[in-house]
Amino acid sequence: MAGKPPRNSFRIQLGGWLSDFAVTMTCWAYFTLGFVLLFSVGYCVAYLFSPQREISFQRLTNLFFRGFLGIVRTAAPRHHWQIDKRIAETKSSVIICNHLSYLDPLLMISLFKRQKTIVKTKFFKVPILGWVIRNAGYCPADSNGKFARMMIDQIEQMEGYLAGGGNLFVFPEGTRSRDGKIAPLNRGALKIARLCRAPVYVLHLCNTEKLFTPGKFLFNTRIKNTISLTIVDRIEPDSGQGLSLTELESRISQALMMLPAESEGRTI
Amino acid sequence: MTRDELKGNVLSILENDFEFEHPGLDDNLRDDHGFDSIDAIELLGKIEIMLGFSLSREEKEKAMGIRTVNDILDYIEKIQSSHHR
Repeated sequence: MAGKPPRNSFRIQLGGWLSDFAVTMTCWAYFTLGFVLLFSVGYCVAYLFSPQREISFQRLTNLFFRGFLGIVRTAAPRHHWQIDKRIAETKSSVIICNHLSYLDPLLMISLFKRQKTIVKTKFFKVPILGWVIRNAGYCPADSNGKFARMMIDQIEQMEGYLAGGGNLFVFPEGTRSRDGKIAPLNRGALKIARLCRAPVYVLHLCNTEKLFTPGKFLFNTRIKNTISLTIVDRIEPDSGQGLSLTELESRISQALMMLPAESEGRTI
Repeated sequence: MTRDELKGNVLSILENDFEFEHPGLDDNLRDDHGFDSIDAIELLGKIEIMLGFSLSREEKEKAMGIRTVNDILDYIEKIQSSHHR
């Protein structure tokens, strides 16, 4: 017998929406006010006085996003996080990962004290954000116009940066996957790894899109979900140099397509 | 170095180090061979070794506009002549 939907159902839906709204607003409040009140002074001090400005900016950004992820994890307890502990210990490496949600780069930054990535040039033009990522030494994705000098500087310094313990993380698909499939990879990160003779770690990320879905404004805090980040392959420079770029790309694509369960038991 | 010598060296670098298959002198390197800014920076390092001197920041920036093998040869010839003045 069809009848009116129970009033309880509406209340539950409304309650869920309010919960998502509250979590999203809390995160935005941290992102804006938290930056201004807690971090802007630190960034200014680092800009003016730090003898190693790039490192200071990277550490501050790591701290800022550890705070952000801490809030997300606390405010959305139905999402369980399984992050391989070895990932945060990784140093001097090019880290390659699949891309599902805008949360992904924030998660990566929160994991590595010293981190760089390749960023679309439009973000360098955003006030404050552009200033932070420029001073943190992030690399522009193309070298048009005024970005030529920045890219040359960053690529030329990359070998020393990696040798000094820093990590470069990259989402080589270039954009978020909407269907979970792995898109063709941009080879930039692989070229950098070969150029700098750095190890490549391939990570597989699952289910961040269920917490912060592409195209949606609100976090989805209501569903039960497990977000996992797993190492699925590691390519040492010596074996990487022996592979052609096409073979290296193929190996990384295959690793990215591998389900984390398939990589269990393999020595990585 | 003459243009023919440069051509031989550059084609050899592109085939051996960048894994290009039979690059034509007027191929669009980006579209036909996936040559990008990172490759350009790596190639500049090899050009420096070939020429035996370092390129200035301004000279390197000019290389970012290279699109074809002929562009590379023109670029190297210009650099050579400016350094020999």
